[in-house]
Amino acid sequence: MAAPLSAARWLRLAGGRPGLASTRSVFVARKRTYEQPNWFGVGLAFTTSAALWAFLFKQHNEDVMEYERRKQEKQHKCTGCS
Amino acid sequence: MAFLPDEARSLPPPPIVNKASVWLGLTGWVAALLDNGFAHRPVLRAGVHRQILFASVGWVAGYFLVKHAEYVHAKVDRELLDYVRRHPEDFKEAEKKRIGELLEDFNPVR
Repeated sequence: MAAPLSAARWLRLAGGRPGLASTRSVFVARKRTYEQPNWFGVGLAFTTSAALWAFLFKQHNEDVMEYERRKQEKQHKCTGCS
Repeated sequence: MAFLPDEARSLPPPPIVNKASVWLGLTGWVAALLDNGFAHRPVLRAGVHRQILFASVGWVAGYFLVKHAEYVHAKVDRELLDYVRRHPEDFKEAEKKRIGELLEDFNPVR
């Protein structure tokens, strides 16, 4: 019981406490402040919404054109050139 | 495999304002409101950009959903009516009875 515990303690200490060796890291953790709006996020959201609506209207118009075109074609084929 | 087969384009496309779009747009908007609620933000006034984005995503998803559903229904209808046309003996219209045959004879009791 004691042997694994002391082994674990040795392993933990052998790693070196943060104060013993100075480590450098690129990553810094900062607390988020919500004083300023996240303008990038806002811009991205509005741009994406505008793009989605533009895509929807474009797709709908294309669908309507294609449907009308096929209707005309079918009429032309069925009735023939009377 | 595309979203829908080519023959689906022969169907009339759903209008921009359709039931699924309205419902899913509303769902997206409520999801944004819920997000505000969970994050302890003012529910209606905060994150308007998020509300608009979620509602738009729902609206577009609804449009394509309705297109797909209409295609599936049209396909089923076509197969059903084709079967009915090919098997007329199974779908004979019942002989219409005239009203004179339905009623009993009138024997006045005077």
